[in-house]
Amino acid sequence: MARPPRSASRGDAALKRLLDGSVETFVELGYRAAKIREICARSKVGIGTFYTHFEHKRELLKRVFLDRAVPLSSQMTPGDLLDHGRLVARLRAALDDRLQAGLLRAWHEAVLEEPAIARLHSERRAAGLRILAATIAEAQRRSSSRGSLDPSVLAWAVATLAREIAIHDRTGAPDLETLARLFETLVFGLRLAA
Amino acid sequence: VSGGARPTPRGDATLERLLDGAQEAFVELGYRAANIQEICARSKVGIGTFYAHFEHKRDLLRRVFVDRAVLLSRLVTPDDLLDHGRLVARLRRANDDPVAAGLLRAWYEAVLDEPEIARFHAEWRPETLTMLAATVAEAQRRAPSSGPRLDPLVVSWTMATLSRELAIHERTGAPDLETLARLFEELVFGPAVVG
Repeated sequence: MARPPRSASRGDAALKRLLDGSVETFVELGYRAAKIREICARSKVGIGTFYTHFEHKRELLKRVFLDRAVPLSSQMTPGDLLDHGRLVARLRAALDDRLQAGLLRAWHEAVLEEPAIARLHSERRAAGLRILAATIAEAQRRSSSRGSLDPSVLAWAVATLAREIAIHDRTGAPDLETLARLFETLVFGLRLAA
Repeated sequence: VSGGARPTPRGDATLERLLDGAQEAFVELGYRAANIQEICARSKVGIGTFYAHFEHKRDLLRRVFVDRAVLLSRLVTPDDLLDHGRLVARLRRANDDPVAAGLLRAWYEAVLDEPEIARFHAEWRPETLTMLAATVAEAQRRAPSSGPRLDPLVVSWTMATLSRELAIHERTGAPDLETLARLFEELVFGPAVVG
């Protein structure tokens, strides 16, 4: 088990510095290139602080990702989908934010490398898609028209396209105004064209 | 043209073997784990054959990928977009074929690992998206119009992104290929409206 820190408040402060510093490091370097020594140096904590709290770098990433990543699926509301300006603002907040995009990028790098992260990811993604599908279904219920595709299919498409924009280079990708229009067209059918 | 390659049938045959073996190794092991020794052993060529044609493993991957990758932009024709059954068959070819999917997966691993591949990818992807957009535009032109449509480039980016997700990521929550084909048709020709 973990060695208890010398004093609770001092230990808490060091842990908080480690978490903050690791977010910065993961965002800047990605998962693999962020070495534990580098993370500790940037966080101004000793390497002992790391091993007091975590057994492996993936545990640290898991902790900061679960604490601090704000998935689009949990943020988006039916009202956002029904209001173009709000939807664009929501997409901007989720996809243009440096910390959020960087954390997501590091996470997906770890998904490729760490089977434990991959398992956790696949559970979280399934849960996120269910939430998003419910949001889409509710927006369709409140609207006068809807597209013919199932909300669960739309949720998968929306989540996949949003992630592409957040974490990959945006070569050939539409701007967020156009992405919002695309989502609206798929969810509500031709209502917007009318 | 790389120096040292003998412009003889024998040189061509060993290069072909190397490309076949490399594709197999990249598909099975991924980019990083497939080392040059292993690739040459599987290809039954000497390591000299590798260095006669390539300077680095990434150059070999690039050659195999550019020559052989199964991409929607190469595969899908306007007629496919106009015929549901044909489109489903194309998507099956691009997404369900283990060799096609494995090569794509190795490529994206290399995009993350190798800045040179990342740069090449960033230049190449717009070209493939433009090709696919031309296919989309032609299909739209042939179909009777039922109102405004999405921009062909936006449609091609969306199709390429969703198709790649199916091919290389795990398929949690993903639709089957029939449904994906329907989604693509709605993107190209405008969605059907219910209620």
